[in-house]
Amino acid sequence: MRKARYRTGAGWVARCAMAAALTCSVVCAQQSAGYRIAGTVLSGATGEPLARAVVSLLAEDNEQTLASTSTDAQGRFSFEGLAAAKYPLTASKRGFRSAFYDEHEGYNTAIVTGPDQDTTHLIFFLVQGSVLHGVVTADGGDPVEGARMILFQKARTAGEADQLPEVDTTLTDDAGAYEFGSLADGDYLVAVAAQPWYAMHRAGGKKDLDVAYPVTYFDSTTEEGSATPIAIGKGAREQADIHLHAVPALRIAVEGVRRADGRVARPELQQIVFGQPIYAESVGFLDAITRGSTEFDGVAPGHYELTLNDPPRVVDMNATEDLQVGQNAGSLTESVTGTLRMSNGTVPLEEGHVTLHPEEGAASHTPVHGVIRNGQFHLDSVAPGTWSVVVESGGKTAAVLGVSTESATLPGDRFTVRDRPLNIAVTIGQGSSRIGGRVQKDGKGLGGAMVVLVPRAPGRMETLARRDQSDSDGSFSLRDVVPGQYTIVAIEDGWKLDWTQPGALARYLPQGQSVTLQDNPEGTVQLTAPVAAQPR
Amino acid sequence: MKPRDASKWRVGLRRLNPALLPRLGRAPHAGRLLLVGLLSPALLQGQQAQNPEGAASTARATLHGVVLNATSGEPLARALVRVTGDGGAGALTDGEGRFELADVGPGRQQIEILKPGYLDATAEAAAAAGGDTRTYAHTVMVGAEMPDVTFRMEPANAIHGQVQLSSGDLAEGIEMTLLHRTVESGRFVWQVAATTKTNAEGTYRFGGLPDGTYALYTAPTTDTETAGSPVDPRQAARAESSGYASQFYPETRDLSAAAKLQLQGGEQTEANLTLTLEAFHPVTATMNLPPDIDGKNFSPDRPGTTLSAVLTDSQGHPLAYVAQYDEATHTVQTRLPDGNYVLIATAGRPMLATRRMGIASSSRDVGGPYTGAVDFSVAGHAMTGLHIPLAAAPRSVLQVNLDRSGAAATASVNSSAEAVLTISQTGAWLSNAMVSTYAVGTLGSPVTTIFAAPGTYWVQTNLADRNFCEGSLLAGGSSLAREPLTLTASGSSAPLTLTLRDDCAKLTMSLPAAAEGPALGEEPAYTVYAIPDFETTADVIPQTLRASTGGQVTLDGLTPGNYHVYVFDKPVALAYHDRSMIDALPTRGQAINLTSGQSANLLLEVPQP
Repeated sequence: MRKARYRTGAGWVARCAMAAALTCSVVCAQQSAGYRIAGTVLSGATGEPLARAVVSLLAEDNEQTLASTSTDAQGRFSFEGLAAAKYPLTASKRGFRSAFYDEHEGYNTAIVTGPDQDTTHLIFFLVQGSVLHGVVTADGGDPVEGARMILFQKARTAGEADQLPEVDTTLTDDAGAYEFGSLADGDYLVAVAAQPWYAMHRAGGKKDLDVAYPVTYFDSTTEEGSATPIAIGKGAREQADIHLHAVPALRIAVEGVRRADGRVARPELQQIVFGQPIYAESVGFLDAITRGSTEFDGVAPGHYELTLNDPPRVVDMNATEDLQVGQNAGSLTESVTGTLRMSNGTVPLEEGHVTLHPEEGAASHTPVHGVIRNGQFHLDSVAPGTWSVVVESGGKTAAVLGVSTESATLPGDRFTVRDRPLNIAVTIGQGSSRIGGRVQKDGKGLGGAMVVLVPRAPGRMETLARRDQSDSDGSFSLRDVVPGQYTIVAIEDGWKLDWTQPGALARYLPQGQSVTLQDNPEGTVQLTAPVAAQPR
Repeated sequence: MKPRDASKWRVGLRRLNPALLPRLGRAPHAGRLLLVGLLSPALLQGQQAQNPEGAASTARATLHGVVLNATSGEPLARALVRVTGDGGAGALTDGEGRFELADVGPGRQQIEILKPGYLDATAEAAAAAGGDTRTYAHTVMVGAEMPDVTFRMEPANAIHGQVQLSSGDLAEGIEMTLLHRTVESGRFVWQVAATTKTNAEGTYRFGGLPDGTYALYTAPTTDTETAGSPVDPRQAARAESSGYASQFYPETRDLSAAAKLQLQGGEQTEANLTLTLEAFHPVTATMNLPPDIDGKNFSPDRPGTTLSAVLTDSQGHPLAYVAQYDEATHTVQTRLPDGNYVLIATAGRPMLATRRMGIASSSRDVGGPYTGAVDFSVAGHAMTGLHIPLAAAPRSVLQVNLDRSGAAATASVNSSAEAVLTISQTGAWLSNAMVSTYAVGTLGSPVTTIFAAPGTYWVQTNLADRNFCEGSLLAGGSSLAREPLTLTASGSSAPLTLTLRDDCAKLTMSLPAAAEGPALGEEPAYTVYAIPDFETTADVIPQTLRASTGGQVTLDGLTPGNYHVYVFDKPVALAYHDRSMIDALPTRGQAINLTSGQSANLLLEVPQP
C-alpha cells in the first residue's frame, strides 16, 4: 500500500506516539481469540536481532497508531487479539532509519489478518541511516563556518525526476564540518552556498574584499553539470570535503523599479541550483525611492532568476560579469485564473492552496503559490511555459486528474502559459477513482509485489501511470486514476526495475490485465480476476 | 506515481537565509548586528559628520597597526580590521599581522576586528559585563600621522565529545545543553549558551566559546522516542518504557555536583559521557479544579485557557522532562526515571478586552492563574494516584513605605513612576538573559506580585523615579538584600515591605585629564562600579567612561551611605554581591560617603597601564 504523504522519520514517530497508548485499548479489548501479528526485527546490515525496537501497528485509513510494542532481546514482537483487518506496520530504533514493513520508495506491505493468513512469521529489517559528512574549506585551508550545505538526491528513475530532489540542508560548524544523517541509500549531489566571512561589498571596501563564493558542488566544481554524484550504500558513511574559492563579486543593477503609480516594486533575485531557487534576496528600497533604480551587490557568479514588477516579468540570467538589467528585459508574465471541478460533479473544494510548479522549459524556476477561495484562484504573475498544478486542502494533496484551457483539455496536471492571460479549469479526483485488485502467485495472494497501472495511450506514462505495492494477502489499490484504458502488471521483487524507462515494462504487458475506467466514475473498480505475479 | 511531497512548499517560504548574511560576530548578537547593517549609508554618513572633533587634522588618514593573538602574543594573519558602518573601510592583516586602512575619516572611529576561530577579547568582556556589544569595543582617534594601533584577539575555545549509551545503541540525536557561568545583577548565574544534538556517530561539538567556566547536560530521552506522549491511566501499568535520564557531565543529576569546565586560550576540551539505560515510569496527576470566578467550574478545556505543567527537582530547579495535559482525563502525564520531583501546574486565561469602535473599552480578568504543585518520588514503579489541587495564585500587595530621612513617621509615596521587582532563582540556570518580573506597579498605587514557581530567589529592586531610592526590602523580618526570597508551592511568600527614601544622593564621577590617552590611536575606556558598603537589592550598573564622550557620568537615585568605587581599564563583569570577589580585586577602591540629599563629586583614579 501507499503510505501517507508525510516523510518517513521523526514526523510519523511523533504522530504515532501521541495516539499510541490511548487507542491501544480499543484494539487490545478485542477478544483474545482474535488474530495475531508477530515477527522479528533484524538489522539489515548484519542480520542480527534488534532488541528494544519499537514496532507500531497503524490503522489502514488514517495511519493513526493503534498499538506499539518493544522488541525483546531476541528482536521478537507480537500483537495479540486483533480484528481481521489491514494493518500497516512501522518500526524504529535509535541509530536506525524508521521504516514501514518492507518499505520501497514510499510503498510498503501492510499486514492483513484473517483466516488462512500467516501473519506471525514476519521478518522486519531495519537499516542504519546512511551518513554523508565532510569539511568545507576555503582559500588558505581555512574552515568555512556557517556554509549552507544543500543535499539533493538524484532521482532513481527518470519518471520521478519532477520530484523536488532537495532532501536536506544544514550549516557547517566552526570547524567547517557538516553531516547529513539518517539518509536512505542512493545517489546524492551536494552544493555549498556561502559568503567569505571577510567580504565587504560597499564602496569603502577594498576591491580585494569585494568577493564571493560561487555555489560549489562536490568535487569542488562550480559547474552544475560537473557535480560528482556521491553513491551512498545502506548504512554507509561517506565523506565529501569541498573547497571554496573566492572570486570577484558581481553587481546587478536594476532599472525601472519605481512603478507608474509612484509605488516601489522591489526586485527579487533568486539563485537557481539544479533548476530550483535556493535563496532569494531583495534590496535597495531607499535607492528605489530616490533614484528609481537599485543594485544587488556581492553577487557570486552563477544562475539567477530576477523577478521584476512593472510590468511583471522574470529575467533568467547566467551572471558572469556585472550586469545592467533594463526596463524591458526578461519574459512578461501572465495572470492565471483557475476554477476547480470535481471529477464526479460534486461541490468543489472551497478553501485551500494552489501551487504551480515549473516544468521543463518554463521561463521561471520558482513555484507560484496562491489561495483557493470559493473553489477559485487567481495568480497574478506566471511566467510562460509548462506548469503542473498541485492543489492542497485541509492538509491533504488532492489528485489533479486534468487541466482544461480555452483551447484544450488534457489529462494530468499540466498546462502551458503563452503570451496572454489564461483561464483554466482543474479537475480534482474524488478519491473514488480507484482500482482495487489482488496479486496472485501459485494460487495464493502475494505480498510485496510492485503493481503498475500502465496507460494504453503512448507517451502518457509520466502523468497517468500509478503504482502500488501489494499487501500481505496480495491486495492492492491504485488511487486517483484518470479515466481511460490501462494494463495492470504485477512484478515480483520489481522494485529494482527502472520501470519508467521506455519499454522497460513491455515484456510484462502481455501477461497483464486490461482494465478501463469510465468517465465520471462512482465508487471503486474492483477487479474480479487476480493479477498474475510475474518474475522480474 | 508518488504523492507530491509537501516539502515543495518550503521553497516559497524560504526567503532569508541567515547563513548567507554576513557573519559579523557571535550568533547571539546577530539580531542586533543585523539592525545596524540595515542602516542606510546616508544615515551613517550623517552620524560620522557629527563627530569629526578630536584629532588635529580634518584630512583623511591611514590607520595602520597590528593584530595579535592575545594568548600567545604572536601576530595574527588574515584578521579583518574594519571601520564600522556600511561604507566603512576594511582590510585583512598580512602574514606579520599588520594591516593598513587608507582613506579613513578623521576623528573618532569605531573599529571592529573579526577572524573565524577568534574572539575580540574586549568585545567579549563588554558583553559579559552586560554592556551593549555595539558600543564598539575599540574607539580610535584618527588623524594624520597615526601611530601603530595594536588589537588583540583571543582564540575561541571548543568543547566536544562522544556520548555512549549503556545499551550499546548508537547515541544519535541526544540533545546537549551547554551552560556558561556569567554575572547577572552582581551574582554568578548559569546561562544556557548553546544547545546541539549528537550526530550519527554520537559525537557533539560546541565551538566559538569565549574563555570561561562551562557545564554540560543532556536532555532526557526515552528509548522509544515517545517521551512526553500521553499516558493512558488505564494503560499506565503497561506503558513502562526505558530511557536515559537528564545528566550533567560527567555523571550527576545536580548542577552543583557537575564538573565545571574551565576554558582558556583556545582550548579544545573533550568531554565524553556515558548514559545509562533505566526504566522510565509513567506518572499521572489529576488536577482538582477550583470553581471559576464567574461561578462556573473553571475548566482548562475552555478555549483561550493556557495550561502549563513544569517539573522541578525538590529544590525547585527546573528539569528538562516534559509533562503534558490530557483533556480527556484532566490529568498531567509524564514519564520519569527514579528520583524526587515537584510537578507544578498553572492554568489561567488571558485578560479579555472588549473592543468597541476599535478602542479597548474595558478589560476583565476572567479567572486565574490557578496554580498547584505536588511533591513525589518515583521509585521503581508507576505513580498514578497524584493530585494537584489548583487554587487561585495568591496576588499579594507589596507594602511600600516612605522613610523620610529617619523621621519616625512614614509617609505615603506619591509618584506615578513604576517600581519593578525582578527575581532570579538561586542555584538554577537561565535559558536566556531575561530575568523574571515578580512584582510591578506604580509607587502611588498597589504594587502587586505575579505568580512564580516555588523556590528561592534573589530579588532586585528597580525604581523608575530617581527621586526615590531603596531603604530596605523585607520579607517578614528578613532583608532580601542578604537572604533570598522563599516562595512556597502556592507561590506565596512572607509579607513584603519595600521602604523607600526620598533623600537620595547623586554621585558625579570624572576621569582625570591624564586618562584621555594619546591624541591619536586607540582611546582607553574605563569600566566603573560604585558599590555600596551596605547590602541593597538595587543593582549596581557598570558605567563605561571615555574621554571623547565627556569622561564623566552622574548617578542619581543612590541610597545615602558609604560606597567604594572601582575603576577597570577593560570591561569587567563583577559579582559585586560576593564580598570575596571584591576583596580579591587588585585595588581597594576609592571610598566615598554620600550624604542625604547631597551631590558628591569624585575624581577617579584610573589604573596605570
